[in-house]
Amino acid sequence: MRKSGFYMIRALVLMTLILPGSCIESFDPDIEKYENILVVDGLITDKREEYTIRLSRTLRFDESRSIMESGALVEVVDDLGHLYTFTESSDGIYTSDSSSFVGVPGRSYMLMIQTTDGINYHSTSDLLKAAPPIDSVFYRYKEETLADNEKLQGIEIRLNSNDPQNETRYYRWEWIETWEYSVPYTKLGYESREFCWASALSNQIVIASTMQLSKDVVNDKLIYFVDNRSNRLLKTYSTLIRQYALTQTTHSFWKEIELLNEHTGSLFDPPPASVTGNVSNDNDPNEPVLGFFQVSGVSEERFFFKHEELPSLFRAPTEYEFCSTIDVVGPGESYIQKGWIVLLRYMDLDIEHTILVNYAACYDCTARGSNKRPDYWID
Amino acid sequence: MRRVGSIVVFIMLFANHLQSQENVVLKGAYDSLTFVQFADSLYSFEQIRIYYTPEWVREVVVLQPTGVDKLDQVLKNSLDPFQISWYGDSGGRIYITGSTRIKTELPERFFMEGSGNERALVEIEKSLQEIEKEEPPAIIPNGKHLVTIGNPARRIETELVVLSGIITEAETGEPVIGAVVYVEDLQEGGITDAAGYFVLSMSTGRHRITFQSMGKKAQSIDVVVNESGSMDIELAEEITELRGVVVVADRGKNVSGVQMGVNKVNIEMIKQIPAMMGESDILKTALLLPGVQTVGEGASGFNVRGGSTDQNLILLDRAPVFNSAHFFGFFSAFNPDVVKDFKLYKSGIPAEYGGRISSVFDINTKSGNTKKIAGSGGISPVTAKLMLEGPIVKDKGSFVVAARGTYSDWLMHQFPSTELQNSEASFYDINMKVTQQINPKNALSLSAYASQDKFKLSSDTAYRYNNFNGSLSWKHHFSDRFIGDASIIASDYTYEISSAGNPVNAYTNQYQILYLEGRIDFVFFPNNDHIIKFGTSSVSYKLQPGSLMPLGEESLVEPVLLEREKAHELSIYLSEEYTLNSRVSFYGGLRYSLYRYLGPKTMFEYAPGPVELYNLVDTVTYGTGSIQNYQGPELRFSARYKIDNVTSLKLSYNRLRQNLHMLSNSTAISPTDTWKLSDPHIRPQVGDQIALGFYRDFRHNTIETSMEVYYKYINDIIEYQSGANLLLNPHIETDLINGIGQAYGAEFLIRKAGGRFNGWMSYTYSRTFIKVDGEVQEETINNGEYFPANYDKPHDFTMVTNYKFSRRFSFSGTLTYSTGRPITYPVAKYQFRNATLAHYSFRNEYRVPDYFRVDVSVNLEGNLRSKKLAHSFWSLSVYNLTGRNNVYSIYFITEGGELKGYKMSIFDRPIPTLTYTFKF
Repeated sequence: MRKSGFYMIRALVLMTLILPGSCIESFDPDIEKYENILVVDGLITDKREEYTIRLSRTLRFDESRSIMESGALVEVVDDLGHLYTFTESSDGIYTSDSSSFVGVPGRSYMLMIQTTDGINYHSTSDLLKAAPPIDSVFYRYKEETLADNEKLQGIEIRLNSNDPQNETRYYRWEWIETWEYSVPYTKLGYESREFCWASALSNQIVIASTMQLSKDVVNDKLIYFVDNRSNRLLKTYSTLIRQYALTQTTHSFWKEIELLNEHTGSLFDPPPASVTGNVSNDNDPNEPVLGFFQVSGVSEERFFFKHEELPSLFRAPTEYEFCSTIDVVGPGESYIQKGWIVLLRYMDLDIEHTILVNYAACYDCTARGSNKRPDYWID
Repeated sequence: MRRVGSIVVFIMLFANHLQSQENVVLKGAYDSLTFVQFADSLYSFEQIRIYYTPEWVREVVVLQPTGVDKLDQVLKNSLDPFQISWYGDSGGRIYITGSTRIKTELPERFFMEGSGNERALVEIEKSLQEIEKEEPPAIIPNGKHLVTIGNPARRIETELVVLSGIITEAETGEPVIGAVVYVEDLQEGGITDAAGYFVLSMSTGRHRITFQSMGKKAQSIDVVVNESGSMDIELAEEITELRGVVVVADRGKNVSGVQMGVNKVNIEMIKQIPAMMGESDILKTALLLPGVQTVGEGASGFNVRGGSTDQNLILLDRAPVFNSAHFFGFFSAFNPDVVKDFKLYKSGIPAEYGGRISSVFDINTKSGNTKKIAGSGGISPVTAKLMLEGPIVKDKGSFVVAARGTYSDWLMHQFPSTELQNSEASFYDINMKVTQQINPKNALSLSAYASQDKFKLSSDTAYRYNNFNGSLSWKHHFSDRFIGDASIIASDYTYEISSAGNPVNAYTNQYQILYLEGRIDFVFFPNNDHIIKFGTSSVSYKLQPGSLMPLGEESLVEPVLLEREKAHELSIYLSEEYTLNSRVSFYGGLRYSLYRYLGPKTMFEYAPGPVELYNLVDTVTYGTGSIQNYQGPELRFSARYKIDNVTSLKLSYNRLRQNLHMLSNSTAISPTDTWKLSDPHIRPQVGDQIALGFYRDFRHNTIETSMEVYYKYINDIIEYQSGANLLLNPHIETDLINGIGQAYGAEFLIRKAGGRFNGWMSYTYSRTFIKVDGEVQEETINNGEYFPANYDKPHDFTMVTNYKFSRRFSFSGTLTYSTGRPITYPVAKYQFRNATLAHYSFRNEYRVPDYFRVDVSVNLEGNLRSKKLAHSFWSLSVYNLTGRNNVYSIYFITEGGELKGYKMSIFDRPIPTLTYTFKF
């Protein structure tokens, strides 16, 4: 009911005009105020992996760099009193030792931080709940026409899950997408760089609660939509879905973040407000601390999708549309000086020809990904 | 072709006066012309010459109602109000004789003022008396000028007698509410009540009484009062309804009434104002009044003098309306075809009203035509509507039925966009009213209203809400000075959200509020200096705060049924309006309400300190009976001091209590907002307001000016914790916090009512602040400091103009300017889980750009032939004429991991609309 409400109102208005038009413009406000606040981004699971706690500071609205909170003492303590110290692997990134620390379902964990200026912070002690396995991940092809008549095609990634014990109840999902792509041109010596794999981490908030259901069942849950605005679906596409089991407080935190991000300024939205997490200053409980220290059991499921499964009408950009070649007589020196790169030289009727390409990325896929085939990849 | 250069005086007694003019039928229509234009036109088109002195007729505007084509009648209508006489000779010439009357003969029941011919007067009185005896009370149609009340033989000089009566509309027989009845020689008067009833006391003898009401032709009647009696008056429309006239408050009442902070608007004005997408809208019209604001275009609800949207008592024929919006607030829930008028009380709220603390928005629907079957209909880009009215028993009973619906679903599906294809939005509303005069002492009226809105916005979730209101009232005249009114009122509001897209999660969620009221009101007029009102009301509230039910067999949704809430509110009131002398009058009222929150119900108890879940200590189950009582007096006071005949000062103070609160955490009212009763954790809101006003009229009360300042303080305003869950929350008190509100402002208004050019201009300076300072961080907003409310818009300027070019063609325009609404910007951003998020702290520190909009409409009435099947009416309106891109909102969201700012406007261009209306 938020953004769509606005579109509908617009549509009603436009009925009298039958003209398309956009009333949403990007806006860069002039904000002088700034609050410098500690941001905690931490995650402990029950999977044997390196856990990271990322400590940073808030930024001004128009800033693009990051300010990391470096040199802090970061520890996690469980309810049995075991203390696990994190080491700073890069500025503001504190990692655990996966050989000595693995989260255990049923235990509670608390984060403790001491910054370089001697201020102590701690999180609430949160229970690690085991996550049930994901029953299945599947897709649904979808095509829709946007208000400006543009066609959007793609696949919805959906899943089913359930907890027969009815104990999980609150879920959150993250994912890592990986897709294969190729460059439009080949160059001698670059044959191994024709096919590559790119990856992206999820940046959307996807949560669910089954509290209102008689059984702890997640049915046909839409996780995200892979659309045709990128080259993701032109070859084989894969995604690793991570399912986290949340506590009720962790779920409420995510719910608030989600609500805040659904704001489209519609008058049906609540006024935006600060969302603080489970970390606070030991001595000053009123100091705001942003972010969250999440303790969750995790289960994973990998999903593959082949381009051939798409209908033949599917269209998507290769993202190499900017590439072009030129075939010139001679060595093509003047082009080389302009930055063009020789792809191939050949003789035709004793005349030397040179084929040049405008960017190296057009024959070298490693500019955007890795040419190392992931070991889980299937063909 | 002005034929008169000098004053022409003719005195021709007993000449063959109007004989020659009486049968002159005019071919053209001359309404609203100046007299000079009229004279010119008559010569050009009708070959009739008028001789006149320009000075005498400078202020005369020709009045020619539809259907009137006799020259005689037109002259009479136009000149009588100015007491200008005329004379017509056999040669088709008209002589304007100014204040000098030329008597040619005495037509039956026609008496010319100032003749000194006492003998003739006595004769007419005698003949009238005979008529009176046979058929009291006399119905005095427009144009009859002398009436005798009672038997002169029983007349006792200097004794005070009572004259009462009912004023009805000549065309429809409906009572005229709020008409001014004024005894000129005594300089005293009164106004008619909701049944058109008036009562005056006066000495015996001869008086000139003026009856006037907005939109009606004023009439002065010479009355010889011998003893107490009654006299019913029919007032004709001043100008035909289709063309409309703007009168905001009763003429002269601006200065002379004791009431302040009230705006009365009739339907003619509402229809005249350019309408968005062709739907005349009473709530949008109200927004043009000083002191009334909204957070934005398309926001349902309005804010009166710094009050929140739930603090307005919206009454439709006395029944409260809980959701006054169609289409998310783009249209209001009231069909303009059945609305007669509305009154908006912003301060000095009379004691008979209670329950909401900021304003009373009292909407009256029209009664049916008691003479003949009539109707109207119309079509606009979004809606179609039809209204039918007529007598049940001629002159005694009438009915009105009206329906309005949309065809927006069909229109939306004409667009290729998937989002619109999958969306639905429609509404309808139905109004009905039946009135019956049982006998002169008893009248019944029944009014009913039903509406429904349905929408589905490109998702699986469908919304529906329904209003059902009804009221039955019985009015009884115990005597001419004592009237009683008993009513039964019911309002039922329900909404349902249902989602069927995913069979496992499919659900319906329902909410209901049922309001039942019985009330008795009495008005007592001991004499002209006192009006005493008293009464009692008993309200029962039954709320179903939410139920969640599985939808379909596959659904695993577990039923949730929140416990019903019940409350009872008993109020009594007494008020008295007292006129001390011609300069000073007072209004004092006291209302006392006893509110009881009733069981059976399970309540949560919290340890001392913040009402938070971690403080929950106990669950107590109450049986039937009271769980919590709230009671208190509400004082209402107004006073008027008349500096001179056209200038006055007024002062008012009022306190109101509110026990029903809307829970709405959004900036504007949204369709899923619920209402909550005061309970042990949620205290009633109490508002106090003090207001001072200065009023002055110019040019025979045709130009009214006013200046009002006010200060308002509201206790226990409801605010919300961040992330508050208002749906299906069994311990909702933990998500609510109490705040206080403060508002102050000054309102300036200048208005010209009536005439070819009319309208108003208003400027308002107002501020509204809210403070929420709880015991703990989560119960505090903005560190416990005052922050501007969402609807705090300091400067507000409005101009409404109507200009009539001719009988058929008129122009209307409105201009609105206001400061942009407050908005919250992020003070920082941060990286979290691979995305950039915004951090907000101080609420409402910034503002969207200022708001400016101009709307215009031109109205064209069909041909002027009086005998035709239906009157038709075209209206072309342009909303947002300048195409200004008014910013509706500025917001920040994370898209693809990046934080982006956007500004949004709804209307970035002019929106023209053509509307067709017909009336038969």
